[in-house]
Amino acid sequence: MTAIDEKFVWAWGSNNCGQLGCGDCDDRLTPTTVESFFSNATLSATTLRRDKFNSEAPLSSQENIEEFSTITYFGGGGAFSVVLTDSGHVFTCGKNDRGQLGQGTDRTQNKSAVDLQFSLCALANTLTVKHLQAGWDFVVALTECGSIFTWGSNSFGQLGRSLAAGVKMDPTPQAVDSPSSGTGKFVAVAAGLRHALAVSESGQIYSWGSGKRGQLGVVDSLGKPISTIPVPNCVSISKCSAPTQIFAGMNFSGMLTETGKIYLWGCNKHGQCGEAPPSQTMYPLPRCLETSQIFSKGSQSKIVSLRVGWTHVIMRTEAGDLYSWGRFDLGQLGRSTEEVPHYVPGHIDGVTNVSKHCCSSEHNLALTDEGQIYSWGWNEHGICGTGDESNVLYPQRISSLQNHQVMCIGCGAGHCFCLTKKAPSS
Amino acid sequence: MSVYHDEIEIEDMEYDEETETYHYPCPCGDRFEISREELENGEDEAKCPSCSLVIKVIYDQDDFMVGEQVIAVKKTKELELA
Repeated sequence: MTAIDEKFVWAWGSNNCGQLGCGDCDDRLTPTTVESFFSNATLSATTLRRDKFNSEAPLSSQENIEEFSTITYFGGGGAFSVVLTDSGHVFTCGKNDRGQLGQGTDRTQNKSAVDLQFSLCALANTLTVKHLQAGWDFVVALTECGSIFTWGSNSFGQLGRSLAAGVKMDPTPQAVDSPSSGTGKFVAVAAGLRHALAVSESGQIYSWGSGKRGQLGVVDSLGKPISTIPVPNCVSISKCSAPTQIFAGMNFSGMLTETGKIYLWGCNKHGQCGEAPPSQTMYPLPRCLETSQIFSKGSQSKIVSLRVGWTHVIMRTEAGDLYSWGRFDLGQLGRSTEEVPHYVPGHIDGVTNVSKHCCSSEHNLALTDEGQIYSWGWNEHGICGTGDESNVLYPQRISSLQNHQVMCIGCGAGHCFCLTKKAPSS
Repeated sequence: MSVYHDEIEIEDMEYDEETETYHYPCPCGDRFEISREELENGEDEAKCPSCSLVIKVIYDQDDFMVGEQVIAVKKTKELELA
């Protein structure tokens, strides 16, 4: 038995275009195993390469594929999914109308194109993907050598490439344009609904795509946000230490610095930038979030990770505590807004010892040190995995997975994945 | 908070010329949709075919009324002639 045989991929939530990879388009209200993930992934990799690179050629790349033993990242956008393996290979499934599955021109047949099972992305054999994130209908991938590849929709310049006017999509992964200043290597990427961010080795942040709500962090001479920037462009943030993490929500962006400072910019309609929304609906330039009031006495801890939904933020500390702010009407924050207003980072009491967390558009997952998953937020389509569709206002353990050791979690816009170690008992 | 999941300006929606439909991302992964015809009829709710969420579309009705006004004028004339 290989390492792969001992692992199981589970999926649940919205499945209108087969984004769960289960071979059909039925929603799943509770986690369901994607039975064939590992076997199909290997098979599709072999077939695709045969088609692409002449069946007579030796399948040296196949050997490479078989090297993957686990999944390191699950993600996705609107009705499609991306999976990254430890070997640096990317698999995609779901909606493909804008080439967001990155499977090359021959696979984007028509507008209703969907792929019900995971198959390999058409990235060159030589490329090893280190991290990737999906926007609504496009993907931004960072390779091990520090370059960024994009594919999918370019309606708002999200691909960061100088494509001919009127080119609204590209199903083939290609590198983004190098900024004129010369960046060296990139070290991080993030994708929002219609925009993307990247960090260079020197700590410079770049943004591109739609900027109408200030999410690109770049303004014109009148101080107004620039509506579209089609290629990577510098975001200037004065007097701040190097970024350790960047994140992109629907129409807002942010970063965490080495010294634990949080900067946010873009739409503040729901208080996601940390200010009362009526006072300011948009911050077109990065501004530091005042965090001194966040931690009550004795609970102060280093901030290690921020993840964002469309309009809310979930922050994790070194101690494994979660704090949230932003939109709250569907239970996104997992806490009461009576004591701490929704636009101020407030502690989520319902879950502790969190080692990983992630957000979909309007709901969240948290993985604890014990390998248990908690979920909360919007629950239509069973996105919270509770078996019903009532919104979950406070973190709730996904009971159907309680006998499994969860290793990795991830979300698309309205669907979720996880990887477990133990075989399903049924 | 209103019953609408969001209020979106028409210029922020994408237009599909084949189906003559404006659409905008829905958090479930599908899209809110409203047809050109519906806009011409003064409707302002874009619905998601997969879930219960609805958004309000902000647009200038005059931009979509041309066709209807012509029909209306024609009908009035027909009535006058009758």
